[in-house]
Amino acid sequence: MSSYNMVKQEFIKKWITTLHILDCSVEHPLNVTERKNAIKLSSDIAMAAARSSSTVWSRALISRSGNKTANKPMARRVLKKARNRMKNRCLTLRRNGNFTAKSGVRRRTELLKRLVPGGELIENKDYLIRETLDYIVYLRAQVDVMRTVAAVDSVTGNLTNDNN
Amino acid sequence: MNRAIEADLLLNYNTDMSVLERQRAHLKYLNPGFDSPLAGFFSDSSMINGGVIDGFLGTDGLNLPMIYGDTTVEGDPRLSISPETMIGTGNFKKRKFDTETKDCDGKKKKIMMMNREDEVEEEEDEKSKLTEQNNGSTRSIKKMKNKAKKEENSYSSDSSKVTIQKTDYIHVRARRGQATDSHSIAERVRREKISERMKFLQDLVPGCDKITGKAGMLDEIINYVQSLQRQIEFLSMKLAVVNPRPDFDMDDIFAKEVASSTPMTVVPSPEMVNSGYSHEMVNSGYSNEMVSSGYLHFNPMQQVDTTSSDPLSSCFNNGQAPSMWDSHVQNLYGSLGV
Repeated sequence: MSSYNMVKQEFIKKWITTLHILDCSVEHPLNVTERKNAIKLSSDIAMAAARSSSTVWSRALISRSGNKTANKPMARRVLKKARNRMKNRCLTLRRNGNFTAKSGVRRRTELLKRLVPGGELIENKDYLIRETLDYIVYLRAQVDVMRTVAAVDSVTGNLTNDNN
Repeated sequence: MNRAIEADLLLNYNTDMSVLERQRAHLKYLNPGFDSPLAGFFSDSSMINGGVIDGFLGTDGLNLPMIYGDTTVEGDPRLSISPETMIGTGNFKKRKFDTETKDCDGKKKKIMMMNREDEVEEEEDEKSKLTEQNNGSTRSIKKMKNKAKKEENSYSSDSSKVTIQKTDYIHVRARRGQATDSHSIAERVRREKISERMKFLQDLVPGCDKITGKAGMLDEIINYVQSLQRQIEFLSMKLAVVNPRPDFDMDDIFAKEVASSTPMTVVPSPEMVNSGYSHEMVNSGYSNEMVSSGYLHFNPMQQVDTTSSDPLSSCFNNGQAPSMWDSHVQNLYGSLGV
């Protein structure tokens, strides 16, 4: 499991720097939703960045995040390259038309493709499963880190509330 | 699990294509999917891409023409079986044709396959184990091939006594009651890859032990990914609520990360915030608000610890870059005997 810990550490490092940069580029009175989106966005970017760009999902996630943060100059800078690469492929795929599948495995694979970022671009089922497994590992790391941070924050939050 | 996967493979193989198209598509699937151990066994033209195409869905033939060339795949497997391993390849060809015609409804094969018994590699050992399992399992599934089976049984029992000759090809010795198809070999390779991945999946996704079949596994994966994504949403909302600013958690994250690898929980954080009080690297928002309000109250509670943490705070007062923090922190915590 030490490799998993390394994954978590990588993620933490990247997340902190991303949060830092995001924070500098945005004016401060943010409401809860905006904060949440910033956190989620930064953690997604961090997760994808922690995984090198050798997986499809990491690149797709970065490009997808780039579309959402069009106003934030930092994100745009970082993500520009990846975004252009993925955008065209996504468009051509969508244009090919949707044929919805009814039978079990086919339907589930399509569902999975929608869940995993960049999954729609993968035609080979073998690679799709591989990407999914990789993505799951990194998702778990993200969840674990966020959970511990939230736990600490809730504890310290309680203490400050008590003392106020 | 293999048994169920194969059953599932069978069931999902319904397509709208005609029988011959299905056969062709199937052959196209089979042939490129070979690992290098079997590479020498087939002629080069049949190994078009070496790309791995999984047999998860038989109906993805839409992509096939783009990926593969249009070499005549059908003819190759028959011709490429080296004569040294087989006695009377002419007979073999005939038998193969029989099994193909019987296979007309496009169901995926073939229990019977040839396996190497002697050669080397762990992969092969695994494969042979899996094929033993598969042999036992799939025999119970396949009904339509009884005649072909009997023929092959008698035949392969003869050929199983043939010694393996080591030439350039990788020769596979037929086992009793197994097909000697090249198709079956490819099939076997692909199925073993699938089963390998299924094992990995079972380790990764909790609760997958009892699930058999591709659809069930996919369901589990989908549910797991969805639940993880929802958890992330929820946690990020929670973090957003608790913290006044987005970049809140420098100290805490490092502390918690260290703490998660060592059995301490809350104790590190006040110490680190103490150090952050005078430390410029700490986020101004966090230190200003939290330190001024909550953490001052930590100090009397943590007197014993703060005394021992003085070396820590002095360390943190040096202008260390954040990227060095975790290694330093880990060293320090390790030295503290935590």
